[in-house]
Amino acid sequence: MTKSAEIASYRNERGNTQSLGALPSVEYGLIRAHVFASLATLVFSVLFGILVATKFTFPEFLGGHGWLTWGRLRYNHTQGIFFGWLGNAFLAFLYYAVPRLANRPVLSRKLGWFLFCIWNFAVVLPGWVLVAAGFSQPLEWAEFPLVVDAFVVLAFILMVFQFVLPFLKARLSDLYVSAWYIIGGIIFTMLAYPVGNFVPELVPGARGAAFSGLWIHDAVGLYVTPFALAIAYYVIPATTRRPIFSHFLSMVGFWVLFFTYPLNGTHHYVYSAIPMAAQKGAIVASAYLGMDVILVVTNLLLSLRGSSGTASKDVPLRFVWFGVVSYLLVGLQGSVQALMPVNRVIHFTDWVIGHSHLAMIGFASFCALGGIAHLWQRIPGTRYNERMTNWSFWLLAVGLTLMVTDLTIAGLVEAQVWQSSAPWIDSVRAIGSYWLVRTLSGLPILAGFILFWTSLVTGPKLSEATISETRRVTSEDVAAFEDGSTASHEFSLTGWLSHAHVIAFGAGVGFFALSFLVLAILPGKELADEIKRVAPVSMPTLTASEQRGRVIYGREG
Amino acid sequence: MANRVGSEHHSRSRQLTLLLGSVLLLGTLLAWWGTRGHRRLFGEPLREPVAAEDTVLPQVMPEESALLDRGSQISERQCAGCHKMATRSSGPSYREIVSFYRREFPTSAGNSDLRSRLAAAVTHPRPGWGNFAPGPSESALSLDDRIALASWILNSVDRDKNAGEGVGK
Repeated sequence: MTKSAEIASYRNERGNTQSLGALPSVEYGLIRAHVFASLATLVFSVLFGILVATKFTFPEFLGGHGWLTWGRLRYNHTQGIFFGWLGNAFLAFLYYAVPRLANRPVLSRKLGWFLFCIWNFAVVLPGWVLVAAGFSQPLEWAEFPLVVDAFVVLAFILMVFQFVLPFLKARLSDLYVSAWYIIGGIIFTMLAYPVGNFVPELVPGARGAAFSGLWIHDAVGLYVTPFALAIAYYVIPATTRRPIFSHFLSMVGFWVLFFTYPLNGTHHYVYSAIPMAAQKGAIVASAYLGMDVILVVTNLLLSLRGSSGTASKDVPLRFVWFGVVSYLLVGLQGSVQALMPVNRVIHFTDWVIGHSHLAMIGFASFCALGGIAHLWQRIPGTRYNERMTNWSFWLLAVGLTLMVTDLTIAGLVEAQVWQSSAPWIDSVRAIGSYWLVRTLSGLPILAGFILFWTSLVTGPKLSEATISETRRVTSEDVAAFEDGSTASHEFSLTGWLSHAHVIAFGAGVGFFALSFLVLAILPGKELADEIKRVAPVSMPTLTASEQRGRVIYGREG
Repeated sequence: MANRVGSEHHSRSRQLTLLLGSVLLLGTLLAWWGTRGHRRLFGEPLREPVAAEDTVLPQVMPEESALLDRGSQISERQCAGCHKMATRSSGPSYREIVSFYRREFPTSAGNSDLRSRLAAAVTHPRPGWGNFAPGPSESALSLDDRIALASWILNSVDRDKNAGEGVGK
């Protein structure tokens, strides 16, 4: 990339001292590398998923090789999506958006490549290989073994330097909401990851599960959601060139998310041995979380009002729109399924699998794909095929809708059988055909993802002229955000809010710590007391075969 | 947007407050409904969950546990040299012993009876059945010790059998 390509006309965000400034340099090579890594790992992860789904219908499929068994493939499916696909996609977006939002380049290109290598060659690839070879950690959303976890933590620490420092250096008095989500997402994931990956190794039983449960939800709430929302909040105003509907709602949405999300974890263990007070507390937080989703989505959709023409014409924006609508559905669904009477029925059924796919594909992946397609047209040296992206959108939308509908109904059927006194195997027979449909629905999804990848390497090469054209668009991006933050004066409170960043951030960290205190440490203590009170004086030790079964169960999922 | 006139500005912040308030109210209602114990959902009766709030879990009583503990210690100290759980050693396995005493007295059913028979047998007063060498007579064991030992044997054999069936399933 040439020097001249690096520098483009750019209106300074503050706009008072100087009206013209240069767009800070953007690491285009890193963006491209992360985008291709994300799509390659995405295709593998989806393949793992389809193999796992096929095994429901044909249990003998792929035979008995250890590394092709259901448990290991499933671990690699979820971790591949989490780290390989979403991780790389988010990193690509950060390299594009952070310089624009902070008005400063990221810390260092060398650090960027180091981070790229750690993320892909010390986390994703070795993680996959180790899990396939039978080395894993039997904890949800933490299936990669401990040695890999250490590199994940290192990567998040490096991300703080790479992406958070530019914001701190820039000393902007008003941060755009995407920046809030980016900073929050990086810092809280860095803090939450060790709690879900290391603590359950040291604290046994239900007490450890309480910690693990917190991470399960933090993984979605403090890692996936903030970055996906940062993309949505970025792409919408940048494409429609109109500010976000309400900066006040953006900030309320942000803080309610960061206050309630960490308190959710225990809702994965309703009716478990964890003290009931902690379970109910998590359910209350889940109810409010759904309400926060209403606020966030209202704000985003109202920002699109009057732009329906743009949304149907601009494919990246349509991806983001689909993601935002899915976010509303999945947020409300999650809120409702955490409630005790509902949870009692749908717990352990395929309904929950439908819910997670709606979240990870419908919300996170659609937002990430929208973000990638958006930035891809605005960086030099890329090809872009709009027709294929369009086809990819429809394939994914149809495949996902089919999958989620199918799994939701399957879950209700299972629930119905489980509520009766029929033997468990009857529920398996009852939903056999649903499992087949689910597997088939994976095919359009796989095709959609492959087509999306193809659309980024075929099609006309974007000329310098187009790029400088879109560069001007870039300056419009920032103008749109700026209007967004001026709109903050719509509410008298926001004056106070905007000056209370530090207090709010302290409160956020405090709340995060509180979540571990009230949902893991205190219940754990109560549980330990109860165990002490009622446990047999000497627990019979596990027999050798029990001991062995425990290890196998952990390893194979 | 910044140059909106005051009244419009005002009505808009009222709308936002209204939205915020109604959403929080809805959340409160959901939280209230969702944290109460329900016996029905939309008219359908629900099955009782296994480990719900007030369910008393089956427990091993402390005194029984102490008894097993004592039995386990004695067995390790004095019996483990010749008797194994399931495999034939210089003495018969515990499993074999239990089934032998069950078979020997088939008419008198019940565990406690079996336990007292075992408690009487642990000192090898009647050695040499089933081609085994006679065991040493341990007269030093008190009645309590013998009962503890018999309880431990029965308990362990049951557990072992259950574990074995579990694997086969």
